[in-house]
Amino acid sequence: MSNRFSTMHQNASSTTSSSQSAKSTASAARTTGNGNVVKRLQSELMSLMTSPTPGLSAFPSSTDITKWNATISGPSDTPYANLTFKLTLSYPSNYPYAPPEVLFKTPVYHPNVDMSGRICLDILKPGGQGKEGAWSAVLNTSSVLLSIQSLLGEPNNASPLNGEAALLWDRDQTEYKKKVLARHQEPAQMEENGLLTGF
Amino acid sequence: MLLGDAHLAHVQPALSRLRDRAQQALHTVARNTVPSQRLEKTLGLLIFRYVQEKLALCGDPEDCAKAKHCQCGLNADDLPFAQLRHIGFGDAIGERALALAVDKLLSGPALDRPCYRVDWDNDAPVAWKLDWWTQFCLSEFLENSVNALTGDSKYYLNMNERTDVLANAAGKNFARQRTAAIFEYVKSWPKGKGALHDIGVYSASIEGKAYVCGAFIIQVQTRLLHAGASTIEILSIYTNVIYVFRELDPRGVMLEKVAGPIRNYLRTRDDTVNIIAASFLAATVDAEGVIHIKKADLDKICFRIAVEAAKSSLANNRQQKTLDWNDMAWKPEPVDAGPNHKAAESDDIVTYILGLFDPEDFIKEITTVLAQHLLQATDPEYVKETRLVELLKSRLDATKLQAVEVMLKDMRDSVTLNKRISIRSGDVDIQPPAPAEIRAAMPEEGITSAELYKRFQHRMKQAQFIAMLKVVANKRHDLYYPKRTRLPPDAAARASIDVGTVNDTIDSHPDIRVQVLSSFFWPQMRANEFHLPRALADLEQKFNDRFASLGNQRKLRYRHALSRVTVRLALEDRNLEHVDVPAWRASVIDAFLEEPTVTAEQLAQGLGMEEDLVQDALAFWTANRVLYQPTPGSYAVLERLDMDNGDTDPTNQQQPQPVEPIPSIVSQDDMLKASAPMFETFIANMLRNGGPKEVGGMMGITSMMKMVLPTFTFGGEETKWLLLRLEGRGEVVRHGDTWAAAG
Repeated sequence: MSNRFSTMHQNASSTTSSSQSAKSTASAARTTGNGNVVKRLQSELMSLMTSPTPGLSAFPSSTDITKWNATISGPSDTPYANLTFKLTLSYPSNYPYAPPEVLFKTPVYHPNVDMSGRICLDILKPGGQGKEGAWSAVLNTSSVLLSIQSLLGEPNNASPLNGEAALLWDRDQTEYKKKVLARHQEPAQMEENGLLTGF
Repeated sequence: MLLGDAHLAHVQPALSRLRDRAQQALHTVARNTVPSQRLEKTLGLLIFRYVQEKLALCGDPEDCAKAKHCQCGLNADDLPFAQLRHIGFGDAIGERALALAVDKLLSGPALDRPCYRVDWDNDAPVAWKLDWWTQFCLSEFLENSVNALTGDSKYYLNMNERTDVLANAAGKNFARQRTAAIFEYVKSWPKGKGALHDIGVYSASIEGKAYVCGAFIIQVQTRLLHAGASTIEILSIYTNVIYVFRELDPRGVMLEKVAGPIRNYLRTRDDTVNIIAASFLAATVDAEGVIHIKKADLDKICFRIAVEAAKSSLANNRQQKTLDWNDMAWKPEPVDAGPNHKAAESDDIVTYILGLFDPEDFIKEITTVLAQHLLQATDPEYVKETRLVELLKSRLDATKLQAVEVMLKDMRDSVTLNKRISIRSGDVDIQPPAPAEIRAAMPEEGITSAELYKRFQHRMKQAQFIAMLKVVANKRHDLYYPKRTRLPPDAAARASIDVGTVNDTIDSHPDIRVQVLSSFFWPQMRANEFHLPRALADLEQKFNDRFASLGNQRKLRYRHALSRVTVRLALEDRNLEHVDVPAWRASVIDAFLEEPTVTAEQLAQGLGMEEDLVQDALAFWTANRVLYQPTPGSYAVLERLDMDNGDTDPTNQQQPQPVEPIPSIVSQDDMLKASAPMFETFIANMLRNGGPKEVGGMMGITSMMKMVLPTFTFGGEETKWLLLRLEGRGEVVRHGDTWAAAG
């Protein structure tokens, strides 16, 4: 079974005016060669900025608008409370018809996240007929990040990437929290160690 | 006796020889005890002093001026050269002393004489006068002196020595002396060629060029490029610089060198583009080619630029010179040109002015100025504006001027539109159109009769229409063209909204004229909303209906803050008319119809108007003695001038103070302030997710903002301002040059 958050299917319509997206195509097209992706990402960024979700933030990492860095804070009342996680998002050229590639940059101890930060989540896999994933073009960056944030508090133990974590989650929450804190590194700390690179 | 005489005669020469020898020995001793260098110097100084005095006295400048060359001769006989030779100074020491004296003379005193003043009357160079003087008068003096020193008359200066050594040294010093005041010449007398020719003779050499450029740059930097000089002044001197240095060096190498610092400085001034654009629009040329500039504009524009822009040709000067293999006039680039020297495509002042900025920045700025200008223009043909756009098209990339062209087209379309939709509030029933209206509705490129009739079908029958059409149109191949006869101007072509207010007795049928702008292409404009006077609001509604009935799909959104109104006031003792008053002022004065005495707050509330607009309107009407304050804070209409007992400041009452016009285009600054919260969110998010960043650079905050947010058109300064605001709220922290998210 996979995690599915029907509430996440919010409309990704933008608040930008037509003038903005028309202009943006010219300026940023050279970085990707695909104006539609740029347009879409620009409007997503605009809606993220104008109606921010608490605990989530994301921003393009460089002049290439298809690579973003994101920050989420761990949900309260879970072992991840008060922790900050860094992620990278990389959008394919046919976005939003294919999901972005999302990785944790912060080490996470979680049943559905592996040692190199890959995430097992149905909406991050290509959806459609004959495919097991649940990605859909109506999803957007903010819904993806929200899903990942929820995943932290509600792991899907049926298909774990980290079997030990899955077992521990069900048996011993105290021990689980210890492991989480042992693995976790705050972004500032990682920066000092030169580990956090993002894109 | 005879013997004695003979003896004496024999002794006499011997004695004098002895005396000579003793004297010579004495001189030799004296000469050898004093260092010869000092001796030369002192001797040289003495000769110099003497010659200087002599030069000051000799000759009459008037005579020299009449004779066209300086005749101030010097006489070597007056100097004790023979005696010098006699005492043994005739050799190297005397010659060197003479050389020192002449050198000193040529480095100043000889050039300062009245004969070599700048010839402003004839614009002729005087350098050649000096040339002549050194070659003939001075050389002669030198020859005589040396001959007197050496005692023979063999010494003479050949032509080479006269020109190459003497005249060149004099010419060089002379030009350097002129160069010391070059800034003054450029600033005050750019057209007076006298002084410049003198410099030009010298600056023909490479060494001279470098010297003149260096001296000019230093003078410009100390005297012009500082906060005390206004941008208009710098711009007008810049045009002078272009003019003067092109004169000095037609290839433009010198200009390239000296213009650099001024250009860089001008780029840092915020108002430069604005002034240039305003200057381009200021001048009008009438049929005889005489340039007219409004006096009121003179302190806002650069006069020279205005004149040059009006004179410049519209021909497309942007030729790809390097690609033209048949260009027989092609010349290689000058040897002393800098690495980024470009042969000017067309080298008039307009090109240099346009070249000051990045074309895109310039177009952006000029769009703003032009928009402001178009909204206020009263000329229905938009001659000046069209000319400017054509000028820009010929000089800049025409494809980037799309917005400007659309703006111009909007204005022209509005003129036709208003001719077609002429609304007077008095129109009760639909009247058949006048022939003039049908003519006005016809586009220049022709139209079919069926197409044209559609516009009038609700107003007249087709047969009637065809008859009328034949009167005003020519038919060619099914298309009708307007006849080129002059019809009396349509009353609706007034560039204002007429409205009668207050006592409402003069004209209760205001007429309206609407300019329809394509919002995408126009810069952002003021969008203050407020209630218009009832009569105008009705007109607006009517216009909307007519506009839609003409088959227009476009949605109209009124910008009331940009409207201008002609207000006629009939007060008890006087009638007043104010032309082109901003609409908010009309709304405010209209409000007094219902409420005789109101306060500013009540007005703001009743009209839904912003406080500063209310204050502006009240200040305007009070200054024009239409309103007064019966009690402080409340306003009432001044029906009779004697009603105001003058308890307010009388000086304020006597002279209507000029009220600063509120610009209709939103300035960059206001745009920044309005969008600051959004920009700040972007920056805070960027720093939180992307880590610490610097303001500038490829991956700096400014360029990132520009990339992700096309509406962010600002530079590093503005970014810093935003960052400082964020820092003030504790959202970001600064580490040296880098900024990071706080916490």
